Amino acid sequence: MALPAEEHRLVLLAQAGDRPAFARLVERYWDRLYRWLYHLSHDRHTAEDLTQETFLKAFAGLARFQAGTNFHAWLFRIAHNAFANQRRAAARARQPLPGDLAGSDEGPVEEVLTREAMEQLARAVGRLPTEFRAAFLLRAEEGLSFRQIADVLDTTEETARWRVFKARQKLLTALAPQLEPEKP
Amino acid sequence: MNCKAVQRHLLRAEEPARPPAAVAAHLTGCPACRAWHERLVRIERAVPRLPVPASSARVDLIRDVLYSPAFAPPVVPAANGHKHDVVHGWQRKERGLRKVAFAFALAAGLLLCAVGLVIWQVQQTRLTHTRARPVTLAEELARWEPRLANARTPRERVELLAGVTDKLRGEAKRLARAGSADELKGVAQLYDRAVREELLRQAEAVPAEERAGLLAPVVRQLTDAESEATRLASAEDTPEAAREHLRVVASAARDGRDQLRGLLKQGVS
Repeated sequence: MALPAEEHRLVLLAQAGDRPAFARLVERYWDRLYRWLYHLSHDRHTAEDLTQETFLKAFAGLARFQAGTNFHAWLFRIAHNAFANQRRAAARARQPLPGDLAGSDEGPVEEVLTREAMEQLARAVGRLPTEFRAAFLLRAEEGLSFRQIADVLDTTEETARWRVFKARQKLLTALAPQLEPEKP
Repeated sequence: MNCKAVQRHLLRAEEPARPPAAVAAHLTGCPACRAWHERLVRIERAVPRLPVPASSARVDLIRDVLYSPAFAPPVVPAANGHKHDVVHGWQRKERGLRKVAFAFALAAGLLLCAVGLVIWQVQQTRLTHTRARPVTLAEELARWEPRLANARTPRERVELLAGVTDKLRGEAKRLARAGSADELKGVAQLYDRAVREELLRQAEAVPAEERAGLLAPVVRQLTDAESEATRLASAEDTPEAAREHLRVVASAARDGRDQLRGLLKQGVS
């Protein structure tokens, strides 16, 4: 994760028109935005497009960004707006996003959960209501505080907390059989 | 605190893995809540490891940021918040002069834009040929580490190139696991060239007295890279098409490591 001072310096340079500085910011945040948007959209190409759109909008709005405030949250807020717009457009075109994550991507056997449990987790996260999923992933993956999640999702801190609460509750229920300790 | 209150508290907490003392005390004495808490923490820790499909669009965007006209520096509006409650005669004259000057400046600006547009159109025609030429290794590597373009000394370049090769190693590993053999081929070839053509060349230019502290960590990094790529190349779950590209990575890392060791010995003697 970028150190605040280093990130602040990059933002100031980017605001002054320094392209390599903005490229460094893209480099730092691409994977994180892409991961989040993929989990929200369940579609690689949509996530890539939205990530790219986020950076384009961020670049266009750099002059308005108040250096010293939270660039991380600002960027994710732009991404969330882009995602919300995309969903509305998809709904208007009657082309809803895929509703479930197939869990078809093979990953390494995880230390934290077994492969089977990871697949179950991917499916369970994919089945969470979008707003719960967005809030929960911002907490579990991005480490944002409830206040910052509220800023990103344009809601209140209490609502952000509640969404994370509900997401955790649903995941625990869905994964209970996989997470039960083995009986001797 | 009873079990329900403890679980509710943990579900609402920003960091369930770090419960406050009262909750921790309950967990110590309640096996059921302790097991429930462990499940919650395991889920939270597993989420960042959920797989997502590989994306190569990041590199394209970084290239666009660096070179595309779409990312020309934005114009930052100048702060202009002065207000005058009383307007004097001389101020009105000055404003009049400013308006005339502004009109001239605008006309000159428009003229410059027109000239610029003509020049740009001529250059665009030439650029169609320029764009078609192969991208140089330096340009390729700058996509992965933009700071390379501004690096002044061999030492700086070695440090940055070590970072680039490590990123490429990570990318190769990810692509191998994702079964993206075509993308992996490009990354493996770039890794090979980055190590053999750039990293070693820059390392040779580092003054002998600076080599020990600088190159020893890079040697360790290459040793790890070789070992990892070799292991992945022979792993059962690695797709067949990915193996030869992983061997390219392993070979470059091994040769790079051996040559850096040679440079380290020269530095000592």
